[in-house]
Amino acid sequence: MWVKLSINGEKHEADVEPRLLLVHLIRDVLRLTGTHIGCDTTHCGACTVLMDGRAVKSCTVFAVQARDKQIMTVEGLEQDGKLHPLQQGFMAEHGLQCGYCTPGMLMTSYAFLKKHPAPNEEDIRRAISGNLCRCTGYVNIVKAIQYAAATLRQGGS
Amino acid sequence: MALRTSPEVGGMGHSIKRKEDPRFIRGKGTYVDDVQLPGMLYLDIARSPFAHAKITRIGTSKALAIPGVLAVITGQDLAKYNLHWMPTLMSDTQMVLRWRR
Repeated sequence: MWVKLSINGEKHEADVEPRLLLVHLIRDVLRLTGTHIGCDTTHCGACTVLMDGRAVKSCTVFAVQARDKQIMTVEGLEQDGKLHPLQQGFMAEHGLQCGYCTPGMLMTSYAFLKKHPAPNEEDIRRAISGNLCRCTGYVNIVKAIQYAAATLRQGGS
Repeated sequence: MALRTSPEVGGMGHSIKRKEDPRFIRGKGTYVDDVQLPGMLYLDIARSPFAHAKITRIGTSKALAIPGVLAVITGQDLAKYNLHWMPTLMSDTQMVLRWRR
């Protein structure tokens, strides 16, 4: 089946099997390997990407469901060589250790902060409850998201 | 008092900037799952449905008959290469793939 979609603003098309998952289209066909597969069962959230602005777990979306959609992955966060405040926050607050869950954490919080620019800690923890970090770095991940929220509220980019 | 080396020396008592972060936050890391080499195969591990049991037989012929299956590897295959025991962090050894118990 023919699929046309946009990933990080770039148009892509591919002939895919109906059963191909979006995450495999992104990773194996288009070779954007920043999006990770942690569990294959929708538990861990490492594969989270944005589909028309909504955070989805791309291991639970068929590639054909992304037809004509705007997908954004971790590779699309950096703009003109400038890191997104979330990326800056994760670095500044040590929000990552092994980094495997980080792309999913970043994309989930990206969608979350668009809707909730001034979240409290509980809001943030609820927002990332579908993203697992096996290094158990949640404290610093929450701090990183707070850092990004504050930067974005001050109009920073 | 916390042990701390002088700022010029750094190290003990000082936070260090992680060199790997710029790659990881951009999705530019290279994890094992990201590696692509020519002729790569898929591997699936068949585990016992019982937590603790005696293995009487491991039948591989049906699996081998499936088109596309290149190999079925059991502990006994590893023994031919003397690879069936591996050291653990507890400085003893354990079987890589069980075939008895």
